[in-house]
Amino acid sequence: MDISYTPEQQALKNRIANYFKDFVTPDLIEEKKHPDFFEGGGPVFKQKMKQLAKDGLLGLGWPVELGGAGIGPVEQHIFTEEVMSSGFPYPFLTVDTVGPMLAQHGSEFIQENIVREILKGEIIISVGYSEPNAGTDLASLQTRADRDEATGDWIINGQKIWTSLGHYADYVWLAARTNQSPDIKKHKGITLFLVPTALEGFSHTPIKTMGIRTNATYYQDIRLPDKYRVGEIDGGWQLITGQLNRERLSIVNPGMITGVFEQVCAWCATSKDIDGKPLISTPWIKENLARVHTGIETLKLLCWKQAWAMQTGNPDMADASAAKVYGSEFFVEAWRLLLEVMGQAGTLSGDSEGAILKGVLEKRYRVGSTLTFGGGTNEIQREIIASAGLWLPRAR
Amino acid sequence: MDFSYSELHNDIKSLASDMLGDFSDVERLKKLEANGPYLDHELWQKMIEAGITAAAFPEALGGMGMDYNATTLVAEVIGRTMVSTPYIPCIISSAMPLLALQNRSEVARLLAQIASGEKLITAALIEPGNEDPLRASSLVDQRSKISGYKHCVPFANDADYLFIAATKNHKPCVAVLKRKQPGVKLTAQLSTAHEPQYRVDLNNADIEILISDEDAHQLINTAVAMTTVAYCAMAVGAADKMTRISGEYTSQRKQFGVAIATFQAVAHRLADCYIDTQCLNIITLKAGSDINNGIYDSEAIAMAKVWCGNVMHRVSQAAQHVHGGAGIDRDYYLFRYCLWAKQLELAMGNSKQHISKLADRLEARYLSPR
Repeated sequence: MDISYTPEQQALKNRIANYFKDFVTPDLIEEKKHPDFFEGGGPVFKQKMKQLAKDGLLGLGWPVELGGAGIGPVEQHIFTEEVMSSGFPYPFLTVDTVGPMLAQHGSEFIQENIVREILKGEIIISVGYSEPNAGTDLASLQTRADRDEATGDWIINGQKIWTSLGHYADYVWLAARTNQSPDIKKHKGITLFLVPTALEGFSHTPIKTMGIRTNATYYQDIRLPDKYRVGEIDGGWQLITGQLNRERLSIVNPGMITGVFEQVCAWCATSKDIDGKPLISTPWIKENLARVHTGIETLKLLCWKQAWAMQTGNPDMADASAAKVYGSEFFVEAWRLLLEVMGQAGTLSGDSEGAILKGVLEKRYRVGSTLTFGGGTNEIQREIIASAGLWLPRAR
Repeated sequence: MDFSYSELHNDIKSLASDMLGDFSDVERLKKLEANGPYLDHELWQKMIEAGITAAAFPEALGGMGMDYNATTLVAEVIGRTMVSTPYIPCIISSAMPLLALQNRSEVARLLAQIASGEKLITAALIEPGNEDPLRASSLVDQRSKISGYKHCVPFANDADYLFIAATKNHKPCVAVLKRKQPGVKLTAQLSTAHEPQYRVDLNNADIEILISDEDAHQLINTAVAMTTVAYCAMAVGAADKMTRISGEYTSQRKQFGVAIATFQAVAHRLADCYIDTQCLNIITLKAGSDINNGIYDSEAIAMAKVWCGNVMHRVSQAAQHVHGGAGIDRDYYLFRYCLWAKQLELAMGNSKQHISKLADRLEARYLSPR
């Protein structure tokens, strides 16, 4: 038991922190102002992704034979915490969640081509799970993939919703029904595909939200060669849960708040109230900051433990869910506590006159509400904890 | 970064779990507590003989040379079993901090006597109106006699020695003295947790060992850090146990024809207890790891106590709540955990105090020129 970085991990952290110090350049900040590019996708972003790959920073924790550095999940986590903290719109869904699933379960074609392209920073993947009538009850999804027996191709038809990054992604990691039999349990008839968005029959329309752009995506008679299938036919459910376990950890990565927290503390130390006293000397303000600080350190530890557990085997399912619930609810509370510190001026947005720290917290409020339901709603996480962590009987 | 315990740590934990588990049979506890607060002499003797109490002492003093983490594992088991032993005040609050001064022969002698079980020491850290041991009002005079008062001193009536935070020449010091002497008067106090506690009045009492100046400052800081994290570890055990007792109860208890654990409102409340326990556990592990690495002023210690206070309050109430009336019944076994929860919440500084301390540190850090 020694919960601190080894000298090598500390050196890696310093090196990565140093690398990212000036990585988010003014042209990227400018590009991110466009609603379509807040989560990446613009030309500057794409160039930066290639730079990351070239500098050997994508896939630190990936196996060497796939083009990674093979240095382990804790090191991968150190990287992700720093890149997220820098404000770079790191495509964690691609690199940290779908990517590893493809590396493990993808066909030879996928491993040889797509996995390598991920590590070269050349492609982005969206997740296609939710449908207008299938959200938390994901297994009831209706998008279908039918086999063309003559060619072995799959014909895909359906609609997905909340396909974030779908307007610029190269592929959609798509869950589709391949078995229509009413006699099997509904989660047993689902298969995973990697659908190139360049194929005929794919289209998308924007969904403008409180905070960012997302998409509805449409799949009309898309003819997909079998080499784009991932895993067994009708065996998609375990890939979905495997990907979601990783996504849950990614969306509560403390890097999302560590950088912003330091900025707010520094702002509170340099800003003075009407009496000339630094804001950070006001009791309730520093208490708000201390509460956020405590929450961040706790979240870091929960995530470190998960990363460490990945090194030795599979992280405990209930603990991954506990980290997701705690982390997501903490973020919502933390954005509130930090915004309180700014007063009403905290509601001034982006480039607006008087906006504090370029409105970074104003934006967080508008995007933050998705955390408690994204990646598997917290009610489901609590169900998982109740059954897998506490062995409580299930209602059904 | 390593979250695993060594084989030796796991051995100590399972040894303690088995032994304390056997001695916490509900009927036995009921008998013992029938006459009020007590020390479980039989169990304490077994713990000494098994090497549990002195595991973190160096071999030369009769121990196994283990680290601070080993003691928090025992504290966690105590929280899980609710046995009544002086392990925390004797071993963690007094003896462990004194290990740093074992090059003083009188300290080494005392520690060896504690290791063998020949002598028992307890810590008197707080006093009425002041819970900061670095600003104790008990005074050591020029003749090295001590006068003043302490309270909530655990197991004082059973102790041979008292470890007392005091002041000499306006500076913190620690006095180790014999309990049985004319200048020491004990008055029993009754507390929520039913731990035997005493007010200690000192009137020109003789001191056996006096630690002053820099050594004393460090000694008190160490005692405070180690005691704080020990209570947090005990709270981890108590929180986990309360959650699991509640899980078992609600899985059996039927209303409207079904186990009440199948109601989402109940299951989710217990899931929240599970999450709280995980958070308390992880920050406590970090605090313990920092102490192990010699960082006694680690922020993680204050953070752990913030969590400890909040989690004890929430989990105790949730456990009571889902039990309905069964939880308050002294014939059932949940109440002991809930009574201790309040002491664990309030001892060694409450959540607000520690948040306030963390706030001051943040302010100082960001206002200091870099």
